[in-house]
Amino acid sequence: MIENLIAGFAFILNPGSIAAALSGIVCGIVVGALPGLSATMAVAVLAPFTFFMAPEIGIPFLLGVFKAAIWGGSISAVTINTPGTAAAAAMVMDGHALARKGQARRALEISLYSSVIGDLFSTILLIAAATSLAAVAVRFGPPEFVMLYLLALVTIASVSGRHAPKAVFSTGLGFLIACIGLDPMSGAQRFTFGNTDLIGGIGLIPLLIGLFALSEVFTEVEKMRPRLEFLKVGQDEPRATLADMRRVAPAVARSSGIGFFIGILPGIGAEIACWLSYGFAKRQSKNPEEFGHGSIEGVAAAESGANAACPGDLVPMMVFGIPGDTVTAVLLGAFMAQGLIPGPQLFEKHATLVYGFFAVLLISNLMLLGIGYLFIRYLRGITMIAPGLLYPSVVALCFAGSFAVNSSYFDLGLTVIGGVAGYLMRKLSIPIAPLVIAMLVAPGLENALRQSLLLSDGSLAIFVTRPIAAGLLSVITAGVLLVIWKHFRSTQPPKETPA
Amino acid sequence: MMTTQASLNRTNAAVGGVAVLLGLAVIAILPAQVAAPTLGAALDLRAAGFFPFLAGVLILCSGIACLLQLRAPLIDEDTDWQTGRPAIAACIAAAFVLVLPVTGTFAAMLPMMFCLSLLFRYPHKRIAVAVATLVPLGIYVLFERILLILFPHGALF
Repeated sequence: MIENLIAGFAFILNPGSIAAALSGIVCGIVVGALPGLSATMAVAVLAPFTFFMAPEIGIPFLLGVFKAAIWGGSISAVTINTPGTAAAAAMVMDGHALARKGQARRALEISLYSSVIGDLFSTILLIAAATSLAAVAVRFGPPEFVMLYLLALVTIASVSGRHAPKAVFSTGLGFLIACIGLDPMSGAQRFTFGNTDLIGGIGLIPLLIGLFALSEVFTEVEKMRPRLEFLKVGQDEPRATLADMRRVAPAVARSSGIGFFIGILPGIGAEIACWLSYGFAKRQSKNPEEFGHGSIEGVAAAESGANAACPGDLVPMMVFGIPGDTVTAVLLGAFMAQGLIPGPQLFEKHATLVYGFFAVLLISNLMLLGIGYLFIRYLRGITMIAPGLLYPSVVALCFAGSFAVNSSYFDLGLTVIGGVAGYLMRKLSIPIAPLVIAMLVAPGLENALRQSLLLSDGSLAIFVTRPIAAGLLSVITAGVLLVIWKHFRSTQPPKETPA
Repeated sequence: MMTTQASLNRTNAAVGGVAVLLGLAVIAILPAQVAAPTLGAALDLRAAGFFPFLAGVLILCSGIACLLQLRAPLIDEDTDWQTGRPAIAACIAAAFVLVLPVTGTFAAMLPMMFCLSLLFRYPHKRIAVAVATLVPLGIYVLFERILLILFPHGALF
């Protein structure tokens, strides 16, 4: 592993890759700091630009955007009381409270250091976990992969709470969309309705741009956020000290572990990790009463938890080809567009490149630290860009990116349809993540399912006679029963307690 | 913000109804859409129709579950619908796609961006026009000159 990592560093330490990662970090901070622009949206809109670059240039750029956008979200959370991304929602609680006390710079610096530490810790775990898991996953056959894909989908449904039926609907839609085009085994056309544009299937990136970016613009035009109060920087603002960092160290360590674990689970990422870390830090704190009123522990826990989830999200994506959340779903699409098919084979076929990406993840932390430290005073100005200039530019970039993928006019229409569908799904509380994840895992799941049935001559017993598949099946069964039980309980009227 | 049980039920009923109809439609058109003579032939575990059938069943089941949820107790949920402005934004985006082959990509982008700026109630029209000119110009330079990806050109540009 160490030799591979050294080779990865040697491969990636070239001016092109470093400049790409640096540009990605700058773009990520800017996008993350803008309220309403999410990390997923940033990666979806910028991904098409990377298809014309070598993988060692394009992927570091997107990884930089991914990491920096999560921290960037805390800038607007602190300064204008509005999280730039969902992952920064918990930051609002204490970050803005500190800013109101005239300690915005202290809050931002603690969030920067905590996010860098959390991300660094999680990246080291990613390297260790991914390498070990990939070695095990190489031995997986089609039945094991079927169970693994199903486990991912059940996990997504189980974390959807009351919206579990809508999550299942979204998953079914994802499967259906993935079926459009040619059947990979027989070559038969499926759901093409005689339309030649559909024979090649639905373009993933144009649809994702519509679902995540265009729909967000539609949502923002409906909200029409009022202009928020911007807390200016005073010359004598207090800054984060070593004593502050010593005080928050236990919270950062715990939150980093929580974030990494949450990241590994399919379907959930930084937006859940930040709240879980925040809640856990509050319970463990000696001063829980400070939380919500400007606690530096709250800031550190939320930020380290959110950022530690990012490398965690990459584990299932890189090892099994199962995206950890929506951002990694888009990243998976970008990997595939570059000819890199995530899965255990990726570690064998492109070991230097994969370890190069790990090296980028480590290096980009230092870049984020440097850029954040040097420009923290000025980054707050980003949040003041007028929506009337920002969102039309985003829409123009959406269409440019969608067209660039396949030079297809059809894809532009697909983006508009995706935008309207994404907006309606948000309004109807239908989660988008299961659709995207199902769409991405469907080809792998279908192939593995049909290969398994060919191996067993059509017998479903293959899923219970192989130990790993059977073990995974029992976990899936338990998960399904849990979802049904939770759903049944949620539909029961509350029992009246006697007075 | 309207958070009544009735409006929430309407949302669930709409999603459930659409899911049931879509699920049934998928199963009904399956043989024709996977070139199988009958539904039975399409449902062979190793045939092209099996996975789409699974998707149809999943959608149908989710629809039934949504409809069953209609008797669930009240939860707070934003069921406020003010779709006028998003609908206009979607129409502007769709109009851009439709006029693009006639006017050309970059000529269509300028009015599209300007109209969206107005929709977002941006007060400075000159700045909006300047941005609506500069952004397409930047995209043109990046894509057509640097990345060498040709966008559709029409009568204007």
